Amino acid sequence: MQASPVVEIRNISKHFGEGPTRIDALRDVTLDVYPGTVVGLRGPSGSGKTTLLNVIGCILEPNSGKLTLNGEKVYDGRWLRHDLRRLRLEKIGFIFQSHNLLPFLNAWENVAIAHILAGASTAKAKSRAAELLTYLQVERRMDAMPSQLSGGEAQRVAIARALANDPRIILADEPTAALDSQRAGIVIEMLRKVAVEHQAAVIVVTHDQKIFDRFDHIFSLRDGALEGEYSKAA
Amino acid sequence: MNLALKDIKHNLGRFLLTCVGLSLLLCIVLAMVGIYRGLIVEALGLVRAAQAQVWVVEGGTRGPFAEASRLPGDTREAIAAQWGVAAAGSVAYQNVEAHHRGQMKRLLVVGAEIARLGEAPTIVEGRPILRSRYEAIADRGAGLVLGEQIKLGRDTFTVVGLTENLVGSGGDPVMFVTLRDAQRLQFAVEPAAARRDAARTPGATASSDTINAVLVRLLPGVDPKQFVQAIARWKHLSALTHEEQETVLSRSVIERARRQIGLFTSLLLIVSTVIIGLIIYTMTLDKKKAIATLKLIGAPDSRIVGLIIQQALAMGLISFFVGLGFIHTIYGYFPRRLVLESPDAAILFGVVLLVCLLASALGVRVALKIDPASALAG
Repeated sequence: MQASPVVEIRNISKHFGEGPTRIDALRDVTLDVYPGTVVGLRGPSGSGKTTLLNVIGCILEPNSGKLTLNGEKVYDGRWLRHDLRRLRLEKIGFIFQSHNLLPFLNAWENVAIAHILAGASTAKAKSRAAELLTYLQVERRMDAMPSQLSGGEAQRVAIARALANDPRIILADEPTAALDSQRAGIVIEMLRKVAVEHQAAVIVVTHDQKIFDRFDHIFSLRDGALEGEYSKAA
Repeated sequence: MNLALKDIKHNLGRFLLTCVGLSLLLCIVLAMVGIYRGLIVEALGLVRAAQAQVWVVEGGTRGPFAEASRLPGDTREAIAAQWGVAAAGSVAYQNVEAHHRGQMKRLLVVGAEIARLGEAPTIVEGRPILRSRYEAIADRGAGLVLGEQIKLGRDTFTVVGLTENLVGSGGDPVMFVTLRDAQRLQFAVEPAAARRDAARTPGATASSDTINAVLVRLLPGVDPKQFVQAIARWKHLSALTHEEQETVLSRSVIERARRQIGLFTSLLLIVSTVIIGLIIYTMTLDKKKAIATLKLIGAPDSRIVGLIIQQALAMGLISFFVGLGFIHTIYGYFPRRLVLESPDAAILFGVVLLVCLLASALGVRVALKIDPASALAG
């Protein structure tokens, strides 16, 4: 029996502007993402990938539809929770194209900050950061500042930060854009490992054709609408 | 984990450089307040040193500091004969410029009667004036030493005693001489002028027995205000209590300086606010992406606002204490007296905190407007 989806999107629409300037960024998008899977969101520029990621990340309010995250109804014509930042903190991990490590914190502090924001003590957060950095094999660079990290090391630290609060949903925005195919493959395999071992749903927005075959499932968007979906098994 | 301190550490050079600049500004603010306090202490020092309860001056004036006041030399005898008077002394004040040891010295010459009210108060070195002519007690600020001779007008005086921190409201060191010497210095005309006056008004002789005020100390239980009212009945005389004399000096003599210094201090505080505001604003702009990321991963606004306000406060506090230390190090080098009082420093401390909060408002506004989604943009 298949597990319940971690991300359930039903008929989500989002438009910007009104009248002749109206742009439909998302049109009736419906999709499910299951735990333990790495899903790709692909499509040309302006197809609505990032808008969809923002909606799932509770950063952008859609105009209609329903959104359920980890079994909790989050949006149903309006936000059902006021503390969306808390929701993001507890349930969603973010990985960015340019890592977005805080330049004034070292590697372990960058990971620990997410745990501290969730209410953990500094000592506990440091221990959690050390555990995650060891898990991602970058523990030797714990005290390095972001400017001292290589691209690959910074990406691992960013992934560690995304995992700090053990989220069930990980949203990654073009995480392999700046990497060659070998390193891109390593990052996706790392995300797969995270997805499987943490039973998380990993959603990756990407243009990167060289990693398409590494996803469990791919949703293809065009002009804000779901154009097609492809499963590895199919 | 304190994000504000981490960010300061990351940009330590720029932060400290800003603090140094700001501390110099706050140092000047403290100096301004110190100069104002010094003005008050200096201006009131002479009034307080006189130890008089009532000042009798020329009728219709508020002399002798705020306005010119001339009284006949025998006024003291008339006043001393009044009921309730314990002691009275005639005084004459005059600003004098003297060439001495190749330098021009400005002095406030005070003429007082020996062993009467108005003579030099605490003498820190030497002795009081004992001879009726040509002896002087000078303030250390005049740069004179015991036994040194200085020419004032047509007479040469020997310094027999020294006082400390006694200057006039203009900052000129005080020199005490006998009343007779002071009268000669102030009122006696040159021989040629005297001859001319005598020729123009045959029979008339110019009198130099003129004084500026009579200082009065009352018997215990006598109300100075009632005494002042009694004196006011003499149409050619006016009287002021010690408190009134201090008020006259504070309002008339120091008021303009107070307003000037107050305005300058306000401008400096505005400049400090603008500097803190701009620095915090640019520091916030530099952190736009970091703030967007923090918001995206779930940091509450309070945490981000705290980051900015703490940085502004840290900047203000460091600058304040560096400025305070700096002014305490250099205050002795100021040509005029600087009086640094703890309550003034405490008030400035409060003002700096307020200024920091005000200055951080712009940065806070920018930070709150940052869209978390911008963290996702390349």
